[in-house]
Amino acid sequence: MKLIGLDFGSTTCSAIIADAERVRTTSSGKMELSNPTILFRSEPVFTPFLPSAPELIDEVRLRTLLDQWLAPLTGSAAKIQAGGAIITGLAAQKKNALSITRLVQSRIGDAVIAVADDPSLESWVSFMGNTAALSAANSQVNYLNLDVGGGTTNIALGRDSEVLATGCFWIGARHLQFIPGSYQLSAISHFGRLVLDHLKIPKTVGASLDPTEVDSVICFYIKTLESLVQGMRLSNSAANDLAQIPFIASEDLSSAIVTWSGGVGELLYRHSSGAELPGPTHYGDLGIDLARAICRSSLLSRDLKTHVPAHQGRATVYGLMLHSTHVSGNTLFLPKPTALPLRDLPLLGRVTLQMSEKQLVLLIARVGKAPSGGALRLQAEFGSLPELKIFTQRFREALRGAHYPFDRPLVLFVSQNVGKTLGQYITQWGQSDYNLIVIDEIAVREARFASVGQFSLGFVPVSFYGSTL
Amino acid sequence: MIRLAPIGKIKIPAPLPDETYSITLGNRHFSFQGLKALLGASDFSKAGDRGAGLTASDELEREAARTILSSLSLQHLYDHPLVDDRGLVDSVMRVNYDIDENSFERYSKWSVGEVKDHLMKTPGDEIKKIGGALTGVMVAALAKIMDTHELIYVSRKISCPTRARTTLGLPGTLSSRLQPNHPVDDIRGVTLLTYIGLSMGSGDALIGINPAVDTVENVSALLHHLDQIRRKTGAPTQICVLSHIKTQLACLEKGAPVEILFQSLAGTEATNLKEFDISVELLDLAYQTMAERGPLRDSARQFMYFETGQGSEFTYGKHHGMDMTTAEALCYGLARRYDPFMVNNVTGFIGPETHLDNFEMIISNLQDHFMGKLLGLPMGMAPCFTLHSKITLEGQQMATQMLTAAGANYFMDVHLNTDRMLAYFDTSGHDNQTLREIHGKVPTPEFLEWAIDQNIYRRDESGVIHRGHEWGNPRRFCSYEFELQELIKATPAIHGFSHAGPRPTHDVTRKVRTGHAAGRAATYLELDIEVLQKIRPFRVVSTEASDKEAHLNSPILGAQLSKAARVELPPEQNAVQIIVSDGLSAEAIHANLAELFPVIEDGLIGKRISYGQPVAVRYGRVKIAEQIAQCLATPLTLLLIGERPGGDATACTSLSAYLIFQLLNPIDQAEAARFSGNTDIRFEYTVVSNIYSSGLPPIEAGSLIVEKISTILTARAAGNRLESYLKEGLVHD
Repeated sequence: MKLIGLDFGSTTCSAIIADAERVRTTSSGKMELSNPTILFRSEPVFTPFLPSAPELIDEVRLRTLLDQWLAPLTGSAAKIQAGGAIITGLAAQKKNALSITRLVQSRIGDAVIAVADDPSLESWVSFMGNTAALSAANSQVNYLNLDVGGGTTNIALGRDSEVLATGCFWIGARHLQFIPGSYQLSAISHFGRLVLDHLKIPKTVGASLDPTEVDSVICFYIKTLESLVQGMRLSNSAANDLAQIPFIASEDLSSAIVTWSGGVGELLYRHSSGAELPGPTHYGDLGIDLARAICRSSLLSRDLKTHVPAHQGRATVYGLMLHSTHVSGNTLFLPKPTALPLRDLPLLGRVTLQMSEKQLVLLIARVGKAPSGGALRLQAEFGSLPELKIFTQRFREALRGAHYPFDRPLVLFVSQNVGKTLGQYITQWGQSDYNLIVIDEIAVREARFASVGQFSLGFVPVSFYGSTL
Repeated sequence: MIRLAPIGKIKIPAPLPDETYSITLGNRHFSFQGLKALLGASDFSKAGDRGAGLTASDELEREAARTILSSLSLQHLYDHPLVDDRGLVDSVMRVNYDIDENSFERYSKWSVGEVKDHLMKTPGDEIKKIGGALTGVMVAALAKIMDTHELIYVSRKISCPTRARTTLGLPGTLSSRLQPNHPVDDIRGVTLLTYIGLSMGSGDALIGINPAVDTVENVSALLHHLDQIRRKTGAPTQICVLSHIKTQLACLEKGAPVEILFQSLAGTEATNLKEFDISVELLDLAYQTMAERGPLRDSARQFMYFETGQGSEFTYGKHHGMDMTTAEALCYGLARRYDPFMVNNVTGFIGPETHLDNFEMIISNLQDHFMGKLLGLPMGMAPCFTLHSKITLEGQQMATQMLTAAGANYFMDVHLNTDRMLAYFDTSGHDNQTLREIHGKVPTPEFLEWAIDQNIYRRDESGVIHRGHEWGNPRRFCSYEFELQELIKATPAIHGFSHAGPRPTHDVTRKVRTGHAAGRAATYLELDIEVLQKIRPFRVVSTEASDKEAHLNSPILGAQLSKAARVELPPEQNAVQIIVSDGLSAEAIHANLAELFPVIEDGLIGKRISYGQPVAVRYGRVKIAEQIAQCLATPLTLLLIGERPGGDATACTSLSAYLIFQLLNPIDQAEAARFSGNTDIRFEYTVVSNIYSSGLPPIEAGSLIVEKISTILTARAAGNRLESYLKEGLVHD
């Protein structure tokens, strides 16, 4: 199937298009997309902001970019079946970010999720794109991926290719922008100002930072990153103010392996492999200084040479393409295939076997109140048929108890390969007319929304998005 | 491209009535009615021929038959084309008569015995010319009067090189067909198995996958993937996905790299037409299509690939009274028409019903190799076995030693001998390298140079080839160690890459052999009726197979109800009948039924579909369901049966569900006959396979089966006809 990943960041944007196979992993038995053959990979280009109105993304130039990127696909090959587009960091703060997502959606199609300002998703896809393969190969160890871009640092902790915790901080290369080749300030973001104020550097656009001031800024960022990598609480208020989503990890991070991605991550790996970096502020920001400073920090650079991800620097776009879409098993419960696609379904809670009748009724009633229906995650592993039958009877009674509207979609996600049987027992083999869909072999990510694509070739694609924090 | 003789213009004599062939040896008189009987009695005793009632009763009768056969002239064999059950010459026999008439004229008066002696004395080039004058029946007759040394000695003199990207069959070479099969076509598993094979110097003949799913989409995807691996590694070889020829042609039409076109062949038209769904006309069309549009049309000399093996005609009951060796020789006569790039012989694949033990498998392989070579075919050999036969790995290894001495073009590389999809056991990359080193052989010249560049081999100062330091190391094709780990995760039965010389190390071997032993144990396990009765009260019926041994060795017995059972199953008025049978793994029933059966039963009740008291069959085969369906007059029969065990413990529990729709209604029958082209069609089959804990879990399989039952009853169709209705939207799942 054709996949796409589009990443519009604070500094650059890029695209990747690939053909991938839907495969069942022999070890876990789960369905996943694998072995992408890259059909097109764009060079990163500067994210097009309007020169005359920097608070806006330039829609005309963006359309041209999309046309260029999609040009290699013609005829039936032009049909993109899955993937994601994301607007992140400072770009996501632009006034027209939301309308840009709609533009992308209309240009590429319904199969692709397009979101702006979803830092949890970005952390997640960065980890999946950059670190998941390493993590799967070394499944007993925690991995911490820091995706450092122009506007944000997205952090994700994971083990055995599963993300356990995410966070997002306004730490990036472009909060202070300079005339290239100098430290003369050309732009200061809100969060750049915050750092300068905290460091008592009263400089404004047009002024130049002296070397001590540059060191102070870099040192502030590095210390904050070091605290994050150690799982420590951020000690000062300025650092706390940079948190878009706090990073709370219950795991011990002392032995976690640190990987990097994003624009600064790419510079880091280039530098550590011996490549020459351009001079400071070559790109008109602090990216090169940050990369050099991370290399100097023994804590941050501890795994730089020993655990090198395959897609360093392009993790977000790669992760979006390959990991933003999940694929269901082959035997889902879908009595009416025409009920799909379902977009923007709210994920309204988890169902567990331990729930009381009352809790189950309340949860189902909550879905029933959503005008377009909603989705629930079934967190259960059935050990036997009697156990499954007891649950389905309880669920059926709860549907009745909640007066669940017959026509309203209710999607149940379950990781075990039991979707068809669950649905059949809940509906008593088609005797009740609930608009129930059970999609199995899906590991639900923490998110607020799900989109379920059309049923084709025996499975459905599913995407999760929207930060839960 | 060769010019194919129009089949109608091939000269063939009119069939003659059977002659009686008689002889007295000592004080015993022997008589054989017709050429088929004589040929059958002349051969070594093999299970399939015993099943067909063709073998000699003892050694003296066999020698009597051979004595007569040796004395018959080639002209006599020419004048007596073997006919099908209707007394007609079929298209396969007709193609076999497409011979060099001038050359035949020269030898026509010679007896079979004289020709055999001449072959022993004559150089290889002359032997090939003689081969061009012979039909399949003639070479079968020769094979039957030759001993082991003779079969090897003559074959070794014949060289049949062919060329695509690599040149197969040159003297001094021993090639390998890499078979990276995966149970669910997981391309990561395919990739790993290909990397391992290439790293062992395998795959110079071909990299070819038997697909788990034979659809245009899946086969195209696999072809593109293999093409990608070939380009990435730079290995000079060719690729193939061994799906049905129609599927491959559709893939070629859509632009997939169908470099070599594959098809299984049988030695009778009835088997080809009704079981393999091919005809000479289709093969002609396929050949011409490849010659005109195949990706290698401008560079390769040949581009067809056929797979054969003794016994398929007998197994399908379409051998027309011919013995297995003769039918196999007729396959080769058909293959010869298309000047194939390679022919692969898989005698042993079917099971004990055709070849019971090591001797039967080995001698058949030697005969097949000789017959193919004599007819000018580039013979690759796959002496193989299943766990329900008595053939062992040792027997297979003995076969390969002899076949290498005989000059086989190539063997298979199935990693660690265990095919992960087809549940059978073939030769491995370790075996190929061992044989190369023992017999002083190397891969094809093009592939060898590539492998030397890759340090898989090294050439010493005197030009001798040795294993290189990268031999057996698949890591060399991976960019990162974790990439290899990802591939390993997706591949079953990978027990490590360590090797001692060209063999796997002892720890790897023990794991492989333990898996084989577990599979054999599952095959011989008896069905425990008490386990079934604890789930529901079953009606227990018996087949004509009186014990496990008879069941395993004769599929016909397990497909027939005992007389007593027929009486116990009078007609009923139910829509569905559930049957449970051990098949080739009782363990599959024991492991899955307790979870599977209640779901099916709940589903049938929930959907208000009537069903009869379930039937349990000990020693049953798939076809038993048809007899039970006929007794009970049930439109739809669900047979739950144990699959042939593979090479690891969990795969021994794999169960299949056959949904068999009986065409009781004349309108349905007419529609099915129109769709299939088979006017006698009585049943249509839909199959749900791979039901076990690591495949489709039994709890989930139960509701899938109920849905399919409901769909079949609504559509009044099953199998391909049902699939076409679903595709056209005439019915819905």
